[in-house]
Amino acid sequence: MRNRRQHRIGAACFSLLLLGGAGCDSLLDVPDPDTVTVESVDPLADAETFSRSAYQNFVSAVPLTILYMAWFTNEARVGDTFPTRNAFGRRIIDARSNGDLSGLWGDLSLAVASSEDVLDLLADVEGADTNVNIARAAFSSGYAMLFTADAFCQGTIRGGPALDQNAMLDHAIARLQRARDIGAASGDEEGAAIANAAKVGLARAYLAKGDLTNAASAAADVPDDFVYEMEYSADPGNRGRLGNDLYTFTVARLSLVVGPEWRAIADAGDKRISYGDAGRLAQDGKLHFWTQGKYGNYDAPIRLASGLEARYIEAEASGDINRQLTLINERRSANGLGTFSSSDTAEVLAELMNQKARDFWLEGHRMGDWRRNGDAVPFIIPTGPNYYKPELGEVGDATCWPLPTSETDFNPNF
Amino acid sequence: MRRISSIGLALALLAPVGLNAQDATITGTVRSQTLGPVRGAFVAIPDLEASTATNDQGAYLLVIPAERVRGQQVTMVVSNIGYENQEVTITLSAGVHRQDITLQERAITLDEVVVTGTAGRLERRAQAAVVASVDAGEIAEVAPVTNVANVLQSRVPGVSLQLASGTSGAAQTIRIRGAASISLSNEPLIFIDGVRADGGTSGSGGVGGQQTSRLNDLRPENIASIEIVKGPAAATLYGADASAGVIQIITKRGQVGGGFHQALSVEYNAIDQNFTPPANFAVCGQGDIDDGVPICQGKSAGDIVSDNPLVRYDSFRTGQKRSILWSGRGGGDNYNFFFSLGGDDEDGTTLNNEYGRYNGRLNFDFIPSQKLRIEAGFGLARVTTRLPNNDNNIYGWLGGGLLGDPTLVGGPTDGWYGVNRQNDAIKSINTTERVIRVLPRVALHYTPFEWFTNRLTLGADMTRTEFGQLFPKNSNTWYDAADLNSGDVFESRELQDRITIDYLGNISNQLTDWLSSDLSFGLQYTSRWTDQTNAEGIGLVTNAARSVNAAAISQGGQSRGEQRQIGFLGQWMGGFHDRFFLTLGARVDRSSAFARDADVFFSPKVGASYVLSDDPAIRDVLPEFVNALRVRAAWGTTGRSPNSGVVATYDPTPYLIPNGEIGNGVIPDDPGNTKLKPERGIEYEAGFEAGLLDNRLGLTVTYFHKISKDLILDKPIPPSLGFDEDSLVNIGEVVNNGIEVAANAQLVTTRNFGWEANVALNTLHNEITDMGEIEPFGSLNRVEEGMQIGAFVTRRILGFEQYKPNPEEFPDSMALRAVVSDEPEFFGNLLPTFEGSFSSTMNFFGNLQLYAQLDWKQDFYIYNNTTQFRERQWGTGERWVRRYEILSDEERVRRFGPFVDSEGNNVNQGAVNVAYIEPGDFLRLREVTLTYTLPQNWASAFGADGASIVVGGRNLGLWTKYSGFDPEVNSSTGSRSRSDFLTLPPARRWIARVNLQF
Repeated sequence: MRNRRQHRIGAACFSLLLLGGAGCDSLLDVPDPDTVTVESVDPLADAETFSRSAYQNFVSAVPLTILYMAWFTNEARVGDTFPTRNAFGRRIIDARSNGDLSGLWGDLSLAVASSEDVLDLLADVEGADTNVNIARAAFSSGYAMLFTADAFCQGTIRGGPALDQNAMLDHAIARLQRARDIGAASGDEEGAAIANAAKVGLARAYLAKGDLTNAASAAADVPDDFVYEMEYSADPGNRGRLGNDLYTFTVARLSLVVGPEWRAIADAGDKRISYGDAGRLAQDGKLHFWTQGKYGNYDAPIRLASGLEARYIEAEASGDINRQLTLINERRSANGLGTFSSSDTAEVLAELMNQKARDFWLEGHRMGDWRRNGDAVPFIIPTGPNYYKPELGEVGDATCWPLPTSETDFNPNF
Repeated sequence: MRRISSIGLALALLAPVGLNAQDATITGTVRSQTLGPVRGAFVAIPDLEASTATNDQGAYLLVIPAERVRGQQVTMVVSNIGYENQEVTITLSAGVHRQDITLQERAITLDEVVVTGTAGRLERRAQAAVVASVDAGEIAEVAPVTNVANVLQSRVPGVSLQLASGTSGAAQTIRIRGAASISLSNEPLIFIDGVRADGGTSGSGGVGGQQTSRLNDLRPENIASIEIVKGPAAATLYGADASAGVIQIITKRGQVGGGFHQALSVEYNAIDQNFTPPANFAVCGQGDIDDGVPICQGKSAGDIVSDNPLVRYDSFRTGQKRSILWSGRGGGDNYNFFFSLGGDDEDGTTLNNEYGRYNGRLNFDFIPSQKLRIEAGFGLARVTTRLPNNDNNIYGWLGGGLLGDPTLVGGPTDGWYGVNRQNDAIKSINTTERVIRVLPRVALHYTPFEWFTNRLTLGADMTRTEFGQLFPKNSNTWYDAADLNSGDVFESRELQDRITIDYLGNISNQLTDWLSSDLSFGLQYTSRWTDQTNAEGIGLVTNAARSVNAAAISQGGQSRGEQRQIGFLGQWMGGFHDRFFLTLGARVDRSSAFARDADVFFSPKVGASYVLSDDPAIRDVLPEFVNALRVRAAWGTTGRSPNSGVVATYDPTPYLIPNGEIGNGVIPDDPGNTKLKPERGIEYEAGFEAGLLDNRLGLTVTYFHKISKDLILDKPIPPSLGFDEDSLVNIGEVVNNGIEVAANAQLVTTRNFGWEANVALNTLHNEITDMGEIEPFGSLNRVEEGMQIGAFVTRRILGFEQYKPNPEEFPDSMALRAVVSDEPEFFGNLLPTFEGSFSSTMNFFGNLQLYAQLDWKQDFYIYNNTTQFRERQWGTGERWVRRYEILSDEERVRRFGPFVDSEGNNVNQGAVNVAYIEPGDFLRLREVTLTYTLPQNWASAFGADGASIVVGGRNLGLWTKYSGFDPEVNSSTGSRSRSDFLTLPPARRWIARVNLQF
């Protein structure tokens, strides 16, 4: 009798607990004020937010890409403790273990993917042919692809198949053409600037492909005085994403070091190269810290495209020694240098690259220039035991960055 | 039992007590066979309803009032868990009677109550899965322990602790039965008296890999015991988050009718850095000589010079700790209580390392009726930790001292790494964490009927953390970055509340003479809520005005989070003849971490325990030397849950509008996975406990096999998809299995000498057996099928060959290079596959005790990144600078290259780490103490009932082939790596302690 009562009580208690549990749904409702859920955002109503975010992804990716390109091509020296950064200076980059490589690839990939998302979302929106949000997204996607092709010589788009350099450049060209056309048709100031900068980007892409005719053609109607700069912010709370990292690596990380070749140019009076003496060692405790003077604050803008670049592209694409000499001497004259003359094609090309190196110092042009023109590009460290910190090993023979294994291992289309 | 007399409550005021000359006073010491004091033994004369308990020296005192002393014979009963009861007959007369008692220890204690991981029958004999127990009270008394981690270290097989560093106040990692999760935490859950508590690590500042530990907020002296639930087989009732095990801390309580005792403990520690930093080396060049570099004067070009700035600046000090603790415990007819107040104050071996801790605890039990018992507890801790910078940290002591260049001695760096950053600069960085922690708890035990018990526990763990870091304003450019030199203050405030509501009911039923039934059911609700706000100020006017508001530029941030879990459990246990027990149980859980429509998490368990030695049929066939024998087997499952990963999210991220304004945009963050569910740990274990050789040898052996399925892994998303986070998926499987052996032996039991020894051993096989479609990842610590989690990999050296380094300019010049494997290969384990400890307690003459513990770990590796960095990245290590002098050609190439693969392609030296991934095997003399119990009359001289003096040391000896400072460090807080990177090794500690009982 007692047993039966005990069992009944036990069953009743257990049932009560389970019944209580059935109604516990609201007990598990917890707010998460830290995140923005995908469902809570309307991509059409918030098109400008998405477009500007994507564009910012590209603008934020550029400074570090330029920095590592500079280290790779000896446009600057690596004054850093990280072996992963010295690996860029030594041109031996391990695709599996170099976290910096993954970061650079990730930043450019984010710019491409987020821009492509915007292009997809707004593909059927009314007035797409004049929508500056689309022009901006196409522009940031195209330029991010261009930088990718320049640095990695290959790529992929949003988990797609592997693309070689020319295929990446073709995709970049398609986006930049779209940016050019929509930007010009948009009728606003930003659209017009995008259109001209897209033309320079197109010319650069064609040049990298070896399509000299289209390169010259794309560059032709860019005004001489045109300059498109990417803007940055010194706001302390946001400069991690919005600041110019070339300045960060000058004043905070202390590892962007101006090498003796470039200091010699400045010492000779060429104002295009500007440097200072920090009076101390760089971050690595090895190199004397000669600081770059081109970007003087976190909000220093970076030139992305210009009429001057268009002129260089035209000159190189033309293969015309006289046209090249004309530009060379314009640039020399403008910077207090004497006239250069030569009838040797190689010599003229080398001087053209010399002037371009000075004009676009720390602007991310040298990897492409070097691969196209080889030894004509100055100050590249030869392969072998020539690294300026010999304890770190030899200089390798890479001319492009490898794709990180974070992409090649996990992209099912590779 | 009504207490007639014992030590009066007046003792609470430390007043000397006068004894009536007509009273009968019975006093003495209760000892084990090996002469060790038996603490907390219950001493009673039932006929007179008189009782008391022994103090920490095993001493007791019973005073019988004169009116009850009639020359009669009475029986005094002495009992304690783990010992056979002892009865002695005393003829009661006025005056003082000395009665020392020796209790016979049971080699295994099948009737000991297990609090943790069980419902229904609580005796160990009924438990199908092993729940290990550590007598924290005794350890705190005799061993050189300063925190809870010390109490747990190397005492229980299968429980592995690793200190992050030798910094005072720094945290440790705890692993129970290996590591089962790849992406989630492998730290066990912590409960204090049944209330979920924070036992994890915290740290907001950039001080390297060092973090603080909330587990160590507790004082070991306030803990009665620690029970360890090792895996899913026993942890099923802890729900969907307990697969890494559970640590239940049971705080001290009073004893009903146990008299009143006070204890005062005063301790002093001297702390030694326990290592000598190596010197930095450099070669004097002709330029150095010509430029007047001081250290190169009088040298020739090519001469090697060295410097040791840490030694030259005397950067380490002898640390000190001062500690005091006052506690009291007692009880009346229907209540008991325990209280303690204590404080620690510790200066670490580096100049800006301090640790201070104030603790208070009050536990009060009230029994208003036979049906109701009310337990109330309140814990309070105030912990202040000042951490120095160390590890992979350019503002750290070791980074500063071990990466210096001797040729720069006398210059701005003066041989240190940082320019103008020597002692004062590093010391002036102030990183301080202040924690206030409150742990309230109420438990109601209601027994409406003898066969129906109910327990309701309500408790909380509320932590308030203030964190502050100051880089002081200075004009010496101490800190590289301009922002820091202008004065940079970072402050954060974190609130964390954990709430536990736990109900457990049990219906016991003696169905027949031979069959009993226990039906248990319960509910457990836990929630964790955190809110952290932080602010940074840059640019101070003065260092005294260091609030964020006082800075020129300020910025802030905030994060909040909340998780809730609710679970229901049911269990039936059948007892057959009180020697065979069968347990069937299950629990269902839901968590806010998962989608609303996610299935409940179901955790079943089944187990059996059979006390063979209680079965007459088997008893007869057991050999004589087997005194007790129990076999057991259990199978169970539980889980591990993440905090997020279900919902697809964007990350709010700013963008810049060309006019300079900043807008708030989004970037793709987490792709989300609505089908995510907890990881599932499935474990079976089987083993036995035996009391052998007249109960002089106790042996516990357990084999466990744990399979962790549905592992939550970051499924790496190709970066080209643009997400900031990888997707969490349930995929893959990890297996942990091994054998655990615990043995205790009474080796010698003579009148004047007793010797007791304990051994704990365990093996561990940890292997990733399935990764689904996830490709292997990790370049140094690998996650790959067939390997341990985080196993070390590197390109191996296959051979050496001569080559022409510069055939164009020097066609005849040959050099040596190493040919390495084309891909990284397995090199060694991250987790030790064998761990063991041996502890010995020798008692001499009943008042002198020598305790020692040896600890060893085998078959694991550590990445000596300190040496690697100094040699290969920095060029200041002796082996690099003197490489042609002290290394063979092959050893030089093995370390520094050049390396090529099988096709002759250059291989970066960073991919070849065979010289720097080193075996970490070690044998350590971890603890030694000598305890002297003062004679009673000496103790009485200053009003005490008992007194002892303890002297000893911790980390006194280390034998290892590891070439770094200590293989027991980890500069990384990651669970899948082990590296020594400019990490302060564990300190050596000398301890002196005085214990007084009143």
